[in-house]
Amino acid sequence: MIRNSKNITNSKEAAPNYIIRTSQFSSALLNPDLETPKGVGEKDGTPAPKRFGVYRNNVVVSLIEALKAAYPSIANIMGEKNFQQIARFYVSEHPPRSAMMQIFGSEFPQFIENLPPLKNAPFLVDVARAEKAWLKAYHTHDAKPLNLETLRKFSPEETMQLTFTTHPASHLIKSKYPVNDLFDFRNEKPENGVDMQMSQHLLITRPHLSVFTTALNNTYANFFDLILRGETLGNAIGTSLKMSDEFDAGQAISLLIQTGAVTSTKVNTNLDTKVHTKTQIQNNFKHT
Amino acid sequence: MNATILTSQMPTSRFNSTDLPIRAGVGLKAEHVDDILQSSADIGFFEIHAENYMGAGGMPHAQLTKIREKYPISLHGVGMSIGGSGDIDAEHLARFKTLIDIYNPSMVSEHLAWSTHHDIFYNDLLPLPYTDETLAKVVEHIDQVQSVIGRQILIENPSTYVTFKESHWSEVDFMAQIAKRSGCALLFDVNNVFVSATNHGYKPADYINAYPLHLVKEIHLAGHATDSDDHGEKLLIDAHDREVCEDVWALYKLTLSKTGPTPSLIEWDNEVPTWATLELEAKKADAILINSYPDSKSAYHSQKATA
Repeated sequence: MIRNSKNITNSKEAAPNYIIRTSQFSSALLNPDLETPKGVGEKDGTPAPKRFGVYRNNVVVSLIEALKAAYPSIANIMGEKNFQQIARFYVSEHPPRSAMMQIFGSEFPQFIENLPPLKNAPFLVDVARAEKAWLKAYHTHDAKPLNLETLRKFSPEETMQLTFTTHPASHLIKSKYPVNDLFDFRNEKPENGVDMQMSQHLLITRPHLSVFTTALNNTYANFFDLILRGETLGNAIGTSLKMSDEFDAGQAISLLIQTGAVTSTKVNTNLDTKVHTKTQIQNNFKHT
Repeated sequence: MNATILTSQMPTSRFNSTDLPIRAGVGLKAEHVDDILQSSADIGFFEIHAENYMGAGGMPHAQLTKIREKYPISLHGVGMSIGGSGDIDAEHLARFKTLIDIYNPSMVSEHLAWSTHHDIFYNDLLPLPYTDETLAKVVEHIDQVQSVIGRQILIENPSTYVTFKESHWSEVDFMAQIAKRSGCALLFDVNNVFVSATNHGYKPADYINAYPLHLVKEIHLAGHATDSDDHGEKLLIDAHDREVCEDVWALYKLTLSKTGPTPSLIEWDNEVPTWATLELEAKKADAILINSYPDSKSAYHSQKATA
């Protein structure tokens, strides 16, 4: 057994070449209904489903666990049994295409969206989008967020004409559902339940090493949406003020800095800026 | 992730190259990093799974940079699919090289196994038959990896649950041949020997006695789980989820008596224990390692007598 024992195989049946061998082996890994490959098992090649089952189990369980690690909120909302079933299906439909497991599960939000049994739980899609964004933010390259000192170098007129470069970790998840409260299921289930009629939006940022989530209402989400799309600060504030009297431009700018959603600024002199908000900005700005 | 982004962010070879100290190391777990740094843990080296650091930035790289400032590291790939029937994934190899350029590990290792087939990554170390055809393929792949990264790699002996009818090389000779033909060195996993020997019905000591141990530059130790095969016989699973068992410690001593003192790693990847428990396991390996020096033989025996 240990020493070189060439030509011990007296097989009448020719063994498949290696490409076919790995094809048979890998097909049987993700399909439990397939028989285990011939000539793979015990010493004489006798099929041994339990032995082969160790590999099946390793592959499927490790991939389900990886999906669960990427989508812990979804797993907790659905419950273990439901998640296992759905994850098993996902793994067989979308096995990883790269050894970089950081990106495994990236089709999960879309998969959930198209899964008939989950049609009555559309909020799950938004939670999954948020979790995918969280993981992307965690691994994306480092970038220094914009600081207040940089912003203060501009005159009030210039400030209104600023546009911003989105930080590579920033994602805004807009939702009709309480996406922030549902996202929190990754930590612990809320004691008082979740008001499913409430709409929340989630801003995901990573100014340094830790990922932050910030719940936003419609108006502030709209403000961030405009900023992240490259709109000028003046236009973003103007539009937001039109949307709601409760919008506070100073607080919005403060949030922009605190969350680290953007990295740098650019003055856009060519753009027509709505300066009617100028005084209010100046006042609020002083307090941040 | 884009390899060029990584390189542009971190200067190449910020860390001096050092040999792995002839001591015990442990597999690095993110949850232990704070404890390690705060206590300035007395550990020989840390081994990292290359794939865990293939993201572009953030916490994993920040943690590894801090660890690397204080400790030598060994880079252990788990996804190169050296034993695959297809081509090596060039993008994956490029990412692997980028990590080596940044962190300058003392050792670089991979497995005699495959994990990718037709672009699907199975996230497991899968077995291969030992034939002339697979030998040529494995050597070609090691050759490619060593050429691209510009340095020697170590290849680890596998733990397996099945054998292939067409295998006509023994595993020991297969390992010796790939080293001879590719110029790679070997990583000797003692737990894998114990797991495979139990699963396939041979004596682990025979395997160790026949192994080309002069090519071994690093040793792995780990715990395993027990299951049963199709006949209700014992089937060991390479679970890395508990302490190293007594049988494996004994085989480790046997191995060291032949290799001489060799850097040794505790792998504990599942049911990850507290840092204190893991550190204790490393201390255990360290104690055995110290006693493996030829001039410490008397000390080893006296310690054994009092134990």
